[in-house]
Amino acid sequence: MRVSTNSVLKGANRMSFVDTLREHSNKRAICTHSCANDCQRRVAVASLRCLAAALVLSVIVAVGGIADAQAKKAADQADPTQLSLEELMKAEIYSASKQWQTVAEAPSSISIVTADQIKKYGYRTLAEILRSVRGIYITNDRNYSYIGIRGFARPGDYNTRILLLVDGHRFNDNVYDAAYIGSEFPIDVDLIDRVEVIRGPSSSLYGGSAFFGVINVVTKRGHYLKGPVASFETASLGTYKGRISYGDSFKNGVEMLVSASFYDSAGRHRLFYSEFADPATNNGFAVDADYDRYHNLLGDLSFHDIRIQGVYGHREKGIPTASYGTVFNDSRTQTTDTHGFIEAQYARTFQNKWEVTGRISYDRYQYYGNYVYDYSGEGRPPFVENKDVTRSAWWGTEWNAAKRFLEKHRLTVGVDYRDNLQQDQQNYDGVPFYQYSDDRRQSKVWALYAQDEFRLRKDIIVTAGLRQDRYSEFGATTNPRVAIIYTPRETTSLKLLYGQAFRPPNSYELYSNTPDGTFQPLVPETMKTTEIVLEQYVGSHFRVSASGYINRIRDLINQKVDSTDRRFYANLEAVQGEGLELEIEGKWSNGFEGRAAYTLQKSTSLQTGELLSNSPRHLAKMNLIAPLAQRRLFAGFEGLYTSPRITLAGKNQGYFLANLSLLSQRIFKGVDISFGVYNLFNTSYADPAGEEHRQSSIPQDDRNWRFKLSYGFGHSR
Amino acid sequence: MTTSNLRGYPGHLGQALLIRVSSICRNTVALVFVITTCASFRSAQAQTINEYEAKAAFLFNFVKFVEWPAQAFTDDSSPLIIGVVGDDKSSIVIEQIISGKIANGRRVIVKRFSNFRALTHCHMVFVRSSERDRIRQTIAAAGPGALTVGEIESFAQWGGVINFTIADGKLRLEINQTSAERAGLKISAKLLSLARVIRN
Repeated sequence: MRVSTNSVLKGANRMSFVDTLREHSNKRAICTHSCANDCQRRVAVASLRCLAAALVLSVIVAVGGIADAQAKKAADQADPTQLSLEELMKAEIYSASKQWQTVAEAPSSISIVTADQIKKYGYRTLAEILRSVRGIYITNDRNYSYIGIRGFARPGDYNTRILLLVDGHRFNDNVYDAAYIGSEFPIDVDLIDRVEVIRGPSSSLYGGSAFFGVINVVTKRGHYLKGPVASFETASLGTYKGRISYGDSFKNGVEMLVSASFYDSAGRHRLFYSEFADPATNNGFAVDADYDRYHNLLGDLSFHDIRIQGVYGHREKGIPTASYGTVFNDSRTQTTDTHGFIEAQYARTFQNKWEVTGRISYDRYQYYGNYVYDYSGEGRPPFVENKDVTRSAWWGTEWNAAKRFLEKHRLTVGVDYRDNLQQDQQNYDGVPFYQYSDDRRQSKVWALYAQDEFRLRKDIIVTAGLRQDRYSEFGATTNPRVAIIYTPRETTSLKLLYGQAFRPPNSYELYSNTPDGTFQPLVPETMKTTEIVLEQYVGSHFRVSASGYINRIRDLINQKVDSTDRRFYANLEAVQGEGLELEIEGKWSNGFEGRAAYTLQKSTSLQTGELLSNSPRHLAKMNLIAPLAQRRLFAGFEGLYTSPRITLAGKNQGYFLANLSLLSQRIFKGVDISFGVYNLFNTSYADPAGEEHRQSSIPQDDRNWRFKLSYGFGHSR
Repeated sequence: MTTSNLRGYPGHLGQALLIRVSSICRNTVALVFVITTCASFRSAQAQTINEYEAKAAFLFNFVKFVEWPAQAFTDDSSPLIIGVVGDDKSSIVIEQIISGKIANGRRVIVKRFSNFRALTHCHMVFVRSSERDRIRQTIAAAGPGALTVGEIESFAQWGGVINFTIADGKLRLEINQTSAERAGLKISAKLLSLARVIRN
């Protein structure tokens, strides 16, 4: 994803030489491809074998499960009214309704995407889920996916201004502060219970990174699965995916979930880039360089007040775009991202009404980039493989306690500590070996925060929060937030919000582009936001929300290129963002639901008065779920409009993208079948590219499809 | 499982692909082992259910275990109407689960009302917790012959017929026999045996 300046520089110098590639060198390059392909094939065969073995074993388990189940009285989970009074008295309940209360009374504008919607719209990645949310747009460069929110998505920014949480656990890494949302996000979308998008700055609760918003991915708990589940997918572009999971809750209070997913996509066989349309660079065709493979594991065990969770994901993605001036059409250029954590959580409400939650966790993130360069500029091998490596590890603990006081106050206090044990970045050439940089670091951050929710009157809640973060590298920063929520009627809530946020420069911005470890004088960037939100229920089927905001960002950390072609980060700009968001949602009891959203936004540099790149003026979204047959067949339709965006070289075209998914539920008990067509009208569209690309826009996938079959063994009981 | 994940965490990401595959195999075998072990615990499992799905199921069961006077219905085929007062997403969940289902030979219809002022004639009225400050008005608006159900502390003491409470993560019922008799409702012995019965 990111080569330190040395290699980037090198790439930039060599870029003009790429054009002089000679034909015979291409042949040798192709030879290496076929070797690489061979290797991939062996891997594919081996993983298929594994998958087959796993399937056979799960069938054995299933047979055992079915036999076991026959002894039990059938309880069709799809219809709770089939339960007897006695069963109902024995059932343990969990509350999902709380989240709606939270939405109405939360000191923010919130969107929630549920597991049911994920299934019915046929979303394949977290990025696709987020793309459907009001005001969010996604940029993809065929390596990573980047979030645009509130008219803001900077080139060279790896989602550092969004805090990504997995069940409340901070998931941004500690070198790039990046939020991974594409296929590199290690939670299988099938295991997501809901995704909560909290807009606006939340630094007063969450500290750095919670700049434009917080995304919390809540995973399914064991009771959701009710036994083993197996799922298989096949899709265009030579894509296969398998998942086996087991989840359940037991009488003794134990609840568990384990799951493994495997994914292998060959990607587009030939990708054409006009910028490389030269006989020396295969006439602009990148062949077999778009592959994407991952495997993920998730484990979750809870017992009374304690929950232990483990997440692991490993993804390899080929880079077909020849970014960073690498050799075009060489499938060895790729990135590997591995991220995992283990966490223990504790939650308890004590007799004296204090609600205490605590967590302690250990994370590791590793990035390994392999970038193929033609340093000689002669266009023929031996090419040099440059390795860009990040190794990082951190542990942290967070404790907070909440209590209701004097009827009207609810006070939350917390402490947060993170010890960055390792934040190492290296860059070196493989053969011949040459080390460009080897930066090893450690740091610490701790924070204290408090928030009071004060019910001033029956219809007015005032929430005020303050958090101080102390960074071993920058010192302290304090950020407040105030929200006034007025609910004149139960169906109406009006929110007035003010917040400050900060984002400290990350290790990558500070150190990666400095060969000798010289310190870039970067300070944290800050933002002040004012926002007004109106949420209104209309009749019994509609909910309308409208919000307007003004963001003022100071000392924005931006990527720049100096006169010697050196990339660096600096506190360069002040930016003002303004926007208006409108949304109407409707839901009917026959299963029909839909929403339509429109966003008008503008982000301007206060220095130059120019509009920011990759910031569409208009976004429009429409989502519809229609029941087609007796709640057994559903159609999910999604339409997304993005207006033209300024790219580094000009402006790209606006586009309308449509996706359609059909889901059949329980034709046979426990069986879900879905078929989705993505980019239904075969729209050709492209996302703006960062400075590391020669292309100013990266074309996206044309029409493609996915077929998915899943079977819940427990649901057939 | 979780610990084996981390143990399998590759220290050197550039390792040979085939080694990686064998680690997938190991993880898979471990996972399947865990699944097999857990499957044997299956018989000990307890039912878990969303709070409002459970409440919807209870409301539906009340139709079966409560007898309304014959004059409450125009004829044998007329539907039984359940009103839900206090409108939010959970009320929609309740409507989705029970509306249109048949109990004791009658079609059950759910109607949602934002508050007691909007309330029209219903056989059963479920008063949501949002109405906690208007319990009396809502019970009065439900009319003398309605089965009133609440989810608010002391709802039954205020004259409601049935109230949901939660204890140890399970739903519990309180039934006010006096209110039931006053409304002309006959509650089956089975339902009474599962509830805490009060009189006032």
